This record gives sequence, C-alpha cells and structure tokens, in this order.
Amino acid sequence: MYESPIKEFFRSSLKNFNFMIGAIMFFSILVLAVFADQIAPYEYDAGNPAAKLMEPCKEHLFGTDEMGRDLFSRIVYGARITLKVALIGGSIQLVLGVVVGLFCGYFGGIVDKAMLFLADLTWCVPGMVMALAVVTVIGTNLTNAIIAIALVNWASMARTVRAKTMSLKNMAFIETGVAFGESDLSLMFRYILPNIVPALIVMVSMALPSTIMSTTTLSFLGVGSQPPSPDWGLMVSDGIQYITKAPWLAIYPGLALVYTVLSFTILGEGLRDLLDPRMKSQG
Amino acid sequence: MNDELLRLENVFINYRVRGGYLNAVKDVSFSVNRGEIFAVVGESGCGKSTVAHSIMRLLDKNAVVLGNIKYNGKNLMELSNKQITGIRGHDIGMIFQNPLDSLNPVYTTGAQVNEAIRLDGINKLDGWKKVIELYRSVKMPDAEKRVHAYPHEMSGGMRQRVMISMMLSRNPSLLIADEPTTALDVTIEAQILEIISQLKVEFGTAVMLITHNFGLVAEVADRVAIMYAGELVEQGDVFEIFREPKHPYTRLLMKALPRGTKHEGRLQTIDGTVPRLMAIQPSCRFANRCPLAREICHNQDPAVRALSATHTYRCHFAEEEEV
Amino acid sequence: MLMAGEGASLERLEEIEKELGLDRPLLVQYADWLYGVTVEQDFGISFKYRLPVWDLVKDRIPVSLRLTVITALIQYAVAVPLGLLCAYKKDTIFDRATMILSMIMTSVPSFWISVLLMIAFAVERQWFPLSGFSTWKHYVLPITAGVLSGLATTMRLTKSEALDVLREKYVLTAYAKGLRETAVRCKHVLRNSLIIICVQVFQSLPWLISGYIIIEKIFVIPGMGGLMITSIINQDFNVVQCLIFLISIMTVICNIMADLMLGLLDPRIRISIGGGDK
Repeated sequence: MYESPIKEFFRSSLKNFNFMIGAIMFFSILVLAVFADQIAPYEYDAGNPAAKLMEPCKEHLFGTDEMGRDLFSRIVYGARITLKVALIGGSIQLVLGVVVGLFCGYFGGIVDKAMLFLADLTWCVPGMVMALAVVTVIGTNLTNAIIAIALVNWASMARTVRAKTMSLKNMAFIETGVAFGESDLSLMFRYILPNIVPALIVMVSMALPSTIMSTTTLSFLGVGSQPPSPDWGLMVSDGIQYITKAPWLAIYPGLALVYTVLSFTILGEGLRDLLDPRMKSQG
Repeated sequence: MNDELLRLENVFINYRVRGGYLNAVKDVSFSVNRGEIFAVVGESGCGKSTVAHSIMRLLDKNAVVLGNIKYNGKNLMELSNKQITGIRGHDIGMIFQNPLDSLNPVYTTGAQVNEAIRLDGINKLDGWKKVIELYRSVKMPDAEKRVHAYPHEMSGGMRQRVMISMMLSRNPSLLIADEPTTALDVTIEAQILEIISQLKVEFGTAVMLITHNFGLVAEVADRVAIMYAGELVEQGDVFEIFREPKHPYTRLLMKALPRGTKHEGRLQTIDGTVPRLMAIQPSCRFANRCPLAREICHNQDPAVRALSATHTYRCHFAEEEEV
Repeated sequence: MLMAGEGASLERLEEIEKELGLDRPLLVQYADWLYGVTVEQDFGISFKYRLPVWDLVKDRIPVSLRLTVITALIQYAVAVPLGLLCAYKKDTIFDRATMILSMIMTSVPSFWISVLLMIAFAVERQWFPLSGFSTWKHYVLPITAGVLSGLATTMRLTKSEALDVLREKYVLTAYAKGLRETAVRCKHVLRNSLIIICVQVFQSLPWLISGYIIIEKIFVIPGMGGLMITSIINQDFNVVQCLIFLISIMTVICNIMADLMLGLLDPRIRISIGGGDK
C-alpha cells in the first residue's frame, strides 16, 4: 500500500520523541513571537522610572530593568529578534551553501578549487574573530551581525552539499538527463537538488542553534543589536551592570535563549533521526 | 574421549534486535579432536564465523549463546570473565580474516606478539627473542628486522604470519582460523595453508579452519562440517564426504567445484541466495533451494542421520539420488 | 571616512587621510604595514589612545595565552575520561544521561554560563571576585566558564572517536590474545583514541582563544579579547588589525603543531613524511 512520503513522515514523526518535544518547544517560541503584542503586558521600550529595578512580582513577572521596563515583555518581544536571526541567518547560509556546493560538486576543476579556497578563507581564523572583523568593517548592527555570522558558517554547508553533489553526479539518472539535453543549471537544480533536500533540512536545523548563539553573542558584545532593542544578548549584557542589585536582569533573557536554542537542537536531532538515521553513529 | 579437545553441543546463537531476536546459528553440534584439522565450510553469512567467535566469547554484547561449548570437558559458557580471559590465547588461539585490520597500526608487530608472550610471565627481553624464533618458524623473511616493522610496512602474507606467531606464542592446543586466506593472493594462500597444516606436525596444535572454499578443505582438512544458513547440514571425515556426499547442499557444492578436466561443461551453480538471519521456525533452511524439497521440509526440522560413526547429516530425503 | 564621524567635511577627510598615509595606493600601504610588522614590530598607532599599538597589545598576550592553555588542559582532563566512559557504557543510563546533559550544555552560550557563575559564586556567596585579574582567585571563575562552555563538544568528540576505535578489529585481536579488560582499554583503545584527541587539543586552541573574547569582557580581564571589543566599538582599526594578525599567526602555529602531533603519534603518517624513517 503506497502512502505518500509526506504522510509517512508525519506518522513517524509523531512517534519520535525528540521531534515532538522540539516541535512543541519551537512552537511555543513561535507563538510568543507572533502574538507578542497580545501576550506582552507592556511595550518593550515603555520605561517607567518609578518602577526601576523591581524584583519579580505580580505586576512584573520577571521584574523590571534600570529604566523601569518590564522584563517579561521585553523577553517576549525579543523572541521576534531571535527568530528573525534564525530565519535570515539560516537562509543566507543555506543559499550560499547550496549554490556554492552545487557548483563545486557539479563542475569540479577550477571552479571547485576557487570556491574551496574561498571556503577555506572563512576558516583560517576562528569564527568569532572573523565575525568581529567583518562587523568592524561593515558596521555594528543586528543585520550586519547576522550577515557576519552567516559568512563565517556557510562553508560547512557548502562542503556537505558539494560532497553529496559529487556522489549524485555519477548516477544513472543524471545521464538520462544529459541524454534529454538538459542544461547544466537544470541538472543541478531540478535533478540533484531535490535529492539532497532531506540532508539539507537536517543540515540547516543543526546549524541554527550555533547561528543563533553566535549572533546573540555578537549582540552581547555590543556589536550586534543596539539599544533599546530587546535582543536577549543585549539584555544580558546590560544586566551584568546591575548584577549585584538585580541579578534577574541577566538571568531571564539567558534562560529564554537557552530554551530557544535547545528547542532548535532537539528539533534538529528529531529531524535527523527521521530523515537521515545514518548520521546517528556519532552517538 | 581423551582425544576430544573441543565439543559443541546443541549451540544456538541469537542476536537481540529491536522487537525480538534473530537467529544466526541453529542447533550446531560437532567436536574437534587433538591434533586434527577440522574445517567448517559454508557460504558467506551461513554462521560459521559466528560459531567460531562464540567459542571464546568474542561476540557482540547483543548476542545470546545457548547450548554447551566444552573445552577439555570445561563448559566455556559457564566461566567467569577472568577465567575465559585465561583461556584465550593460552589454550585457544584465533586468527582472523583481514590481518591488516587485525593488527594495531600504532605498535610494531614484534611488540604486539611480545605482548601476548609476556602474558605468561616472560620478561621483555626474553620475549623479543621468542618473537624472532616464532617469526622464523613461520618462515618470515628477515625475521630480526621484521620484528621492528609496523603492520602497514608489511605485505598481507607477512601480516598473517605475524598473527599466526602471535596466537601460537603461548602454545595453545587449538587454533581457530577464521577465513585466514580469503584476503590473500593465491600464491600466498598456499604458503599460509602450508604453515597451518604443518602446525599439527610441529606443535601438535589442532586447527579449526573456517572457510567458504571447499577446495581448501579437500587440501588440508581431516574432518569437515558443512553449514548452511545457520544449520549444520553434514559433517564427517573428509574422504568419506567427498566419496559419498549425502546432503543435497553438499552434493551441489561438490558439483560446483571446478575440476581439472575440460569436458565438464558449464560450472554448476546453485540457484537462489543464502537467507540472512531468520526467525526460529521448524523447517529445513535449505528447503527453498533444494531440488529434493517437499512439503515436510518447510515444516519440520530434519533429524540427524548417521551414515557411519564419523559421517552424519540432516535431511529428510537424502537417500534419493535425484541430484 | 568612518573615523571622522558622519557629517565631516571633505577637507577634514582629506586631512585625516594624509595623516594616516591612507591616500597612498593600497599595495604600498600593505607593503609598508607588512614591513613595519615584521621588521620593527610596528603595528602603527592606536587611534583612540594615540599610543603605539604594540605597547597596548604586548602585555595582554600572555594573559590570554595563560587562560587558554589552562582551560584546554582542564577541559580535556575532564572530557576525555568522560567521553571514554560513555563509549564503554554506550546505551546505558549513564551514557544517555550524559548525552542529554551535554546536549543541554551545548545550548547554553558561554556568556550566560559566565553570568550564572558570577551570580552563584561572586554575588550570592562572595567566594570569588567579580572582575579584575591580580590574584589566583581571579582565575577561577573565568576558567570554569571556559571549561564548561567547551566541555560538552569535547566530550562528544572523544566518545565518537573511542567508539570508532572500539569497532576496529585489532581490539578483538587484543581480547583474543588473552589481554585483560584494563589492558585492552589502556594499551589499545586509549592509545589509538589519543591520536585524534591530541590533534584536537591543538585544533581547539584557536577556538578557545576566540571564545575568551567574551569571557574576558565579562570578567574585565586585561587580555586580547577585551581589547578587541573595545577597539571594534571605538573603530580603532590598527589595534583590531594587530590582534587579528596575532590570532591568525597563533592559528597557523596551532595547525602546524596539530599536524606534527599526528605524525608523532601515528606511525602510518610518519612514513609518508619522513620517507622511510622509523
């Protein structure tokens, strides 16, 4: 009895513990981000000097910061930023990785070597340093931070795509495509690409946690999001100044970050179990 | 009874997998006598390697071994970890199929053989001398130099000699050789086989030779057991079996052997493929490839029949000459 | 342009360019800088502090190096045995629990670990100072943060490597010889796993250095990382350039060391490099 692969996917996904937990966690963050206006009791930049540095209490679930802003609301709005980082950062890495990987794997030769050289460049200096260097040159704001991290991380995706392309290139179905007179571009994007989609999904979901963490770290360092943005990294950084008087300012945003990254990690593991169980051998 | 070194009685080996167990070896019984060469023959995947590994308890953790495996009367399955470690290498040795993988690339071959020797309390220097002696006795060219060589610096034949030296170094009475020549060239194979067949002459060591090559069996073995899909289908004295093979599988194997004569026509093959691990069910496992198969073959385990004291087989209908 | 601030007049821009020699062709600038760096250790002048960059940087190097090396040692000392244990006890409760724990730890950013440590031990309990760098006490929290942030990854790598080694046939041979369990584990499994692990130690050093950028900022430690952040924010390019240059050199050295280590520990590699030397 033939069942469409999508239906089959959903069925086995329900049985997969990792995937379900990850999906639930992810959705909770998604809900926070999308319905921030409804959920958050206050505006994220609504300062109230009278209510400075209050401990967590009934009116302010997580307390307030040095300007009287409600921490809980800020964290809820911050979910938007984090998801934006994941989306944009992940997309850039995906596009770069796929395009470069396909071209390299398919054409080989000089194209391959040139691209590999570029990819190696992203690697010669440790990631954070590289990203900082990029941000120094192009300016310090959130978008640039996302771009910087994406530029550092795309190479590993490209490598995976390249390897898979090279192994698929020699298969019979490509030969039939050539016999039909398909162009190179068509072969790459309409023949090879669909076959690596499962691996791509897994790859992206495993790259998102580190992308989010790195970008948030840049914000923490002050070279990403700028105040008054409710970026969680930025909030932790501000919170450190008041660590003796109001430690909750640094704790809660970090907690939110851990929860979000964890949700992506668990979701990624679940996806990997479902789509590419062979990778599991790493324990 | 004194002559009997190793005795397997009704050995079943199952593997634990998700959702239950799969059977790899079904009701195997045979014995190996002192100083003889006993071959276990069968296609890839028939379980012969599994049986070999189970004797010294070298199987994976998810393997379950049922039945008795007795060495000099002691049931090896009942020994503690410490005790079975004492048997390994000292009473029974084992060499494997691919000697490159079986040697640690990081130590010299001499060091690895010496490691075994020193388990008996011999000191390092004396050990080295013994290693050189051993290398010479397996006809290793340039023995003194080779002792300091790393495995990747040696050829396949030399490595297998190292393995033989290693496993013989403590004078075991039984050497289990699991497809020792499968990964080697034919010329080297002949040399290694010679070393193995000399073992009983020079050291009195018995050899349990696992192979898929019936031709080897004819050359060196005294007695043979033939396995198919986990079952032992026929066993006995080599001459007897070659002269009068009883089980349909054995007969087909004989026919598949290339003979020296020209006018045999096409080489006979056996239709079908070997089944992999299976569930435990009463039936003859050769049934779906057997030219003699009938209804009962699929439903009932064939009983063991004896043609003579030394020749037994398992079949419902072997008397018919149909094949 | 970036330095003069937005809205600066054209003349002011040209002035600055002349002063910094930026109006010369790019290649000449680069050659000049290279010369200055290699021959005279002259990295130029810091824009912010109007001091030679090298003076600012040179005292910070040993600080960062010290922290990084100690962290690497402790991290591997803890992670390697844990990883090996997990490999031996694969699929037991111990293994599963450790894996879950390590997954959670990889989701925790280093800056937050630092914050938590600060709160737990410097604010609530006052055991360790919050910042600064004069006594041994100042070392504890930053190093703990550094060790914790990389522990999970290192442990996973060790476990994966150990599992690969355990699958090898020569481990079976070792058992078949009659070696006891401990002997097999130490002389064969450990020795062979260590090859890759030692290489990893060196490969992880550059990453540790970059990770310390964050920790140094939090604990206000006078190391290279802290300087880098301030310089970036102040757009003090010469300093940033110098630091990046130094880190690049360290990365190259570490990679060379890693390769050397590999050759030292694995005879198979030695042969192809040394051409037959044993």
